[in-house]
Amino acid sequence: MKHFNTSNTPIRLIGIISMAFLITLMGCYPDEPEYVEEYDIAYSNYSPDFSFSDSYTYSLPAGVLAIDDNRDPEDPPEFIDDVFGNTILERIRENLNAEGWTEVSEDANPDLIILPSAFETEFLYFYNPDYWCWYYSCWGWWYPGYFPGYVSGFKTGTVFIQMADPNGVENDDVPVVWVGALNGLLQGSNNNTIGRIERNLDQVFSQPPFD
Amino acid sequence: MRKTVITVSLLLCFAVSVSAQNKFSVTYNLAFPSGNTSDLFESTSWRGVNFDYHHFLSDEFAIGFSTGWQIFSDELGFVTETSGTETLSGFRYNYLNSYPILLTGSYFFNPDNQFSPYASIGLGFVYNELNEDIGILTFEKTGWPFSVRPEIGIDYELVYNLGLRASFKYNYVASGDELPSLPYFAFNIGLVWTN
Repeated sequence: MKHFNTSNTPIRLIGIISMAFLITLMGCYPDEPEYVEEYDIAYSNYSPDFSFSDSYTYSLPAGVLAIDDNRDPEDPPEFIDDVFGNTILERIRENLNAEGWTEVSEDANPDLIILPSAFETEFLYFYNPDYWCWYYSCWGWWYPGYFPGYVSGFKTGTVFIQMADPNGVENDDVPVVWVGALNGLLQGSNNNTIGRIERNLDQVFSQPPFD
Repeated sequence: MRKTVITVSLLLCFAVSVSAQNKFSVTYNLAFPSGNTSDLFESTSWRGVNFDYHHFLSDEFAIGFSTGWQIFSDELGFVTETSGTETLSGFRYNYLNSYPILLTGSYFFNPDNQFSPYASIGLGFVYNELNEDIGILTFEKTGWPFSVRPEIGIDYELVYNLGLRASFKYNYVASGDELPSLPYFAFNIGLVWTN
C-alpha cells in the first residue's frame, strides 16, 4: 500500500472543490411554487347517503358571511366585501344551475340551503430569543415597555360553503350534506383574487359528487 | 438507541484513525429513484453529495463511514385526489431529503495501481424527511429507517495522493417509522485523497 506524503496534499484544491459541491447543492435546492395560484387548494366532502343526481331547489343568502373570532354568533352578521361576495354567490349560482337545480327564496321552502362564508387566517413568525441559548445564559427574555412583534408572516383566505338539508332535521340539528372549501394566499390584485375564486369554485363543483 | 449506535461507531472510526493510512472522498451524486421512491418521484435527482472515510486495516481492506445528502423533488402539477367522499385539489410538490449515515467495509483490489477498483458495503440508518406539499399544506413524514448500500467503484490517481472516484451504489432503505421503503440508485463522481 502506498504511504503518501501528506505535506503535498493539495488541501486547498480539495477544499475549493468540496465547497463548490456544497454551494452547487444549496443553489439547486428544489423549486417551490412560483405563482400565488399554485398555493390554492380546493376541498370538498359530502354525505354518501344524499342523492346529488336529483334536481333540487336551493336558496342563497344576499351576502357571504364574514367569520371573525372577535364576534359572537349572536352578534349582527357581517358580510365580506361585495366585490368578492358577489363573485362567490354568482359562481355558486352558475354551478348549481348547471346541475339543473333551481334557486328560490328562502321563504319558499327550498330543498337545500347554501351557506357561504369566508374568513382570514394570519400566520405570523415571531422571533424567539431562545435561539441564543447556545451563546448566553437562557434566563428568559423580556422587552421593557415594548414588544418587537413578528418578523415575517402571511395571510390566507378561506371560502367555506355548506349545503344544508332542512328536510332532514333531526333533534333540531340540520344535516349538512356537502361542504366545499377554497384556501389560498391573500396576495395579488382584486382581479387576480376574483379569478382564483372563480376557478376554485368551479373546481369544487367539478369534484365528487358533482363530477 | 440509533443515535447511540451512530455516535459510538463514528467515535470508533476516529479512534482508530490515528496512525494508519486513511482515504477520504467527496462526490457529487446523481440518483435514480427505484421501488416506492419512483412512485413518488419520476425525476432523476441531480442534487446530492457524499462524504466517505476509509481507514485501512490492511493493504486492501478498510472500514469507515459514509454520509451525505440526496434531494429528490418532483412537481406533479395540478392534482385532484379523492379518498372516500373527500376530494382535495391543488398543485402538488413532493420532496425527499435523505441523509445516510453508514458504517462501511471496503475492499480495494489493486491499491498500488493508478486504477484501483473497489467494492464496498454500507450498513446503517438513513434520516429521511418526506414532504408532500399541496397549497400551503405540507404532509411531512420523517424517520430513521435501516439501510444497506452495496457499492462498486474505481479510484484513479491523478497526482500524488489525489485522484478521481467514480462509483455506483444501490441504496436500499427499509420501511420504518411512518415512511415507506425509499430505495434509489446513485452514480457518484468526485475527488479522493489519502493521508
